[in-house]
Amino acid sequence: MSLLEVKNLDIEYQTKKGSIKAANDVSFSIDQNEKFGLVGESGCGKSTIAKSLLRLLPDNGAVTNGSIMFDGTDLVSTDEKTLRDIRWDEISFITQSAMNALDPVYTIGNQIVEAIQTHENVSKKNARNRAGDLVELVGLERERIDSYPHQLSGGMRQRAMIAMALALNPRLIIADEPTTALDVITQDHILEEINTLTDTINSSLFIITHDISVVAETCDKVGVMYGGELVEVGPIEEVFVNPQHPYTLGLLNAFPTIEGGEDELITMPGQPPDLQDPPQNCSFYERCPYREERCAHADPELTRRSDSQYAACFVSEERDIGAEYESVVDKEEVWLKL
Amino acid sequence: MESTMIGTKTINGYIKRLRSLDRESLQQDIELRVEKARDVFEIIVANDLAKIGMVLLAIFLIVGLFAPVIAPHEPNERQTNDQGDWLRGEDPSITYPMGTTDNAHDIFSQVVFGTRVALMAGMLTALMVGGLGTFAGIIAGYSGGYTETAIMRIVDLAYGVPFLPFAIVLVIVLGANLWNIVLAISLILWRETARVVRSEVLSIRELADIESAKASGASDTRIILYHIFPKVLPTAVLYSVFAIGWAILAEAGLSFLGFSDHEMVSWGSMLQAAYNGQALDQSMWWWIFPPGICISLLVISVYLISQGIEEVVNPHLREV
Amino acid sequence: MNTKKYILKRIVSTVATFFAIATIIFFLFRMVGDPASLFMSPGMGGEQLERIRSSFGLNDPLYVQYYRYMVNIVTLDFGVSFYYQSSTGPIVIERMINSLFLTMPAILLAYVFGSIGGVVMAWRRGEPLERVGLLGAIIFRSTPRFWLGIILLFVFAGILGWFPSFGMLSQDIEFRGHLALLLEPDFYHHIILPIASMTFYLMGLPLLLMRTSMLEVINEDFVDVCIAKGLTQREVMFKHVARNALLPVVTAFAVGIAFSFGGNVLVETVFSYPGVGRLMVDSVFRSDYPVAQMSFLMMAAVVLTMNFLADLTYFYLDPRVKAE
Ligand SMILES: Nc1ncnc2c1ncn2[C@@H]1O[C@H](COP(=O)(O)OP(=O)(O)OP(=O)(O)O)[C@@H](O)[C@H]1O
Ligand code: SF4
Ligand SMILES: [Mg+2]
Repeated sequence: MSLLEVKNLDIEYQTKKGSIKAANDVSFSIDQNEKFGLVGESGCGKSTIAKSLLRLLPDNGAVTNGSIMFDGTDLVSTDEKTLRDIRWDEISFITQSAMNALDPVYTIGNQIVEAIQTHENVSKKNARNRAGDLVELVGLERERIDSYPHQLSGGMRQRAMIAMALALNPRLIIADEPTTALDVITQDHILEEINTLTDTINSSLFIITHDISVVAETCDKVGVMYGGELVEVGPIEEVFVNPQHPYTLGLLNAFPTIEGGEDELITMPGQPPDLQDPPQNCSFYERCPYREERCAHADPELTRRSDSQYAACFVSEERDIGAEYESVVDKEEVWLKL
Repeated sequence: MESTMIGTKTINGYIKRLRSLDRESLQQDIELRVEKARDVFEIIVANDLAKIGMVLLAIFLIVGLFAPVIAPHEPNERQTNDQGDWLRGEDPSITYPMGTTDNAHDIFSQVVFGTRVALMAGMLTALMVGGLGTFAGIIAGYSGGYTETAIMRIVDLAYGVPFLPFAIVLVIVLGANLWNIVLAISLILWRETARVVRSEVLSIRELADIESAKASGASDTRIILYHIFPKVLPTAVLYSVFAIGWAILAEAGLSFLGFSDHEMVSWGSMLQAAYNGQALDQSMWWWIFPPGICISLLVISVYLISQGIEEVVNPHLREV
Repeated sequence: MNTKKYILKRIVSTVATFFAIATIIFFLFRMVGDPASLFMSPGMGGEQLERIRSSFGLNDPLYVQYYRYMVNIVTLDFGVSFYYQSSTGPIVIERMINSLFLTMPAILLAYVFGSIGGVVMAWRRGEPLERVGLLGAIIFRSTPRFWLGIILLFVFAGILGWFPSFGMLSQDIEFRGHLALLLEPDFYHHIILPIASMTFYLMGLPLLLMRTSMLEVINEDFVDVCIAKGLTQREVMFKHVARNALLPVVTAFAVGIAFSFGGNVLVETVFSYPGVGRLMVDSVFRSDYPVAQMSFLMMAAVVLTMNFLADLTYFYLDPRVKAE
């Protein structure tokens, strides 16, 4: 049985200008010890999904349909108390910006101790000791527990954040773009750290990124999001080798290969769909080089492609879109080579 | 000869095109500004409380503007009965809707004329505070160095001065009239505007378009006028509006203490007269309540509006 | 910057500011010419005027006068009061303490309740309670405290007769020093109304500020982390959001003191309370120049001291300031 199972999740934000559908019928699951990567361009709804897992959506956002089963508990409908017990103890959360994720007026140690003492009945001294161990585990000096966040560099802060996320040996760690605000070298270190430490404590990982190479390095499974929908999901080996959605294909070709250098970078022209008024047909239609007449009228469902790979595309159900890639790109000139 | 003709023609055409281009960009510019102003207005109006404030303020403005028409009597005219006796401390009635004072003045007429003093005090102070504070704040933030230090020291100084006592001293020295009261209040209140505008300029200074304007050789005046001033304007307006509220309260307070122009009837001086005229002991509630309620309502209207402007300045406050 | 150095620096700048204000006051009074004539009552003859002149040393050159003035400030001796015919210092200081007894509780009450109210308002964002609070805060801020005082007097002292209508103590009770005053129930009976009228007015600002500040902090990422940690809403709101949001309120506290302290004059006048603000205004009307001047300077000193203390508090509350 999977540890986390998200089913038919719909999430909407209410704004003055109308409602925004940030997640539309999203389903995926994460097994024990599995590392799941969620990719997609900015604004497609990744953070929204991550936040919904711990009921962190802002006041104007709400899950309107679906369920989030975590080890037998539905996180959407369960009561506050149960949810609080699960928070951090079982699921911890590393936020998008390393800079503002820690409370500026308390020391690192204080914040880790707070996390520990909220869930375990241990003495302050004991908790502090553990905080020290954790901080050392992520490669900071022990004394750093007495530092305030502003006294640390971005990388150190994110390390402290990771230490805090590990504090209670959670069964799932959510990391929302854990490296965006950092320089490239630190990014690699931090990713490496998250990767190995998750293994050390036997936890599962749900990592969000818009960089598909991060997923390639870290994850077992990947979900690809586009315009609030999950358009493809499956094990790394299958999705990366045999992508079944044109958007995945585009993403895979959008990052530069080492030989090709910058020249090979491909960007996709066009705008993502308006989430305020989501299209009734295939959401990728506007930008899809494979589109056909039927794509303009119907919305493809996620269908099974192989053992555990699913994708939502009419055309790839029938043809091998990967094999046509070169010709399509050249012929239609829709995807520009930079 | 011919070639010159052609030359002139081309040049004329060129100038014409340039002009039209200019007009176009100017038009675009204006459209952009109008659109922005409309956005700002919409944010303010979307705020119900701000809307109520605008209606209230409009009523006061109308009353102030048409005071001589609205008020049935001169504020300092003694009311008498047919026998020529003074009508002291009359209860509210049809002829005297708010009754009379113990000096036989019509309270309603005094309240109506008092509106003028309050509005003048408020608006003049707002202008001075907005002007002085914004100017000082921009100069301090933009120039940095010694100029900044000097200006900020003066701001610190202004923060250390007890407000009302200073105003009292200044009014004694300069003479008790509305202008001096406004001056005294402004000399203190500009500090807040200056402080806030400066810190905003400090962050604006780092923005890319200032850098590029500088790089393209724009003069400091131009940068300040076209790039900095428009950006600090909402904040400057907000603090000027705050100043209206402070000023009305301060003017009322000073008048209550007796530091006001005795020629002009203001709400504060009405309350002074009421307090000293034993209105309390004689339970003349109709003399005590109207001026105070008017001060409150006018200041409330200003703060309600400022609360809407605050949503323009600080997007966190907007409800999504 | 280490703590000691910071405190030292602030002390120096506070003292410097005080002397700058004192200097402004000095020249302000002399700007219009002869201060003696400013305070001259109609009945005074030329002889009397000459006496005032020489007792002020007004015939000396300006720099001598300025020097003497500064010495007076440092020694807290402003000479003999015209009206009380005794040394200025003790009179002003006694009134000053009376004022502090009124102002301090009012400010503390206003800021404690105002801040808590602000937290609640931000917490109940979008609910009718927030609207009511917002409107309430605006009404508090807009109601002149002297008028509120008059109304309170009218209702609670006049109509209901629950409270005395003027002064600090009833006529039959003797003033026996400030410590004794604190043990005197009659004193508390007298200060409830004035404190109430000040507190209501002062509460508006912290209410609004705290709400604004909270709404800004609530959007920060660390708040999400705090919730994700499993803290209760109360813990998140008070321990984290409010703790961060408090910083600008502390600054406002300092400014608020400056404002309210000066504004005391009004409430002291309404309740005929023997405070320093009232003393200054009375002295001005009585042409008691030494007392008026010292009262003003004492008020400035209190305002500056409070600003200084608020700065220290800010320094203590915000670890980021320490690092700079
Ligand atoms: N509080 C909110 N109110 C209204 N709309 C919101 C809110 N938060 C997010 N959205 C909208 O929901 C959509 C999804 O946002 P989300 O933050 O989940 O995107 P994301 O994939 O995490 O993007 P990024 O990579 O930039 O972090 C966006 O279009 C965004 O504008
Ligand atoms: S369904 Fe059609 S439009 Fe949508 S991704 Fe597949 S080919 Fe493209
Ligand atoms: Mg995101």
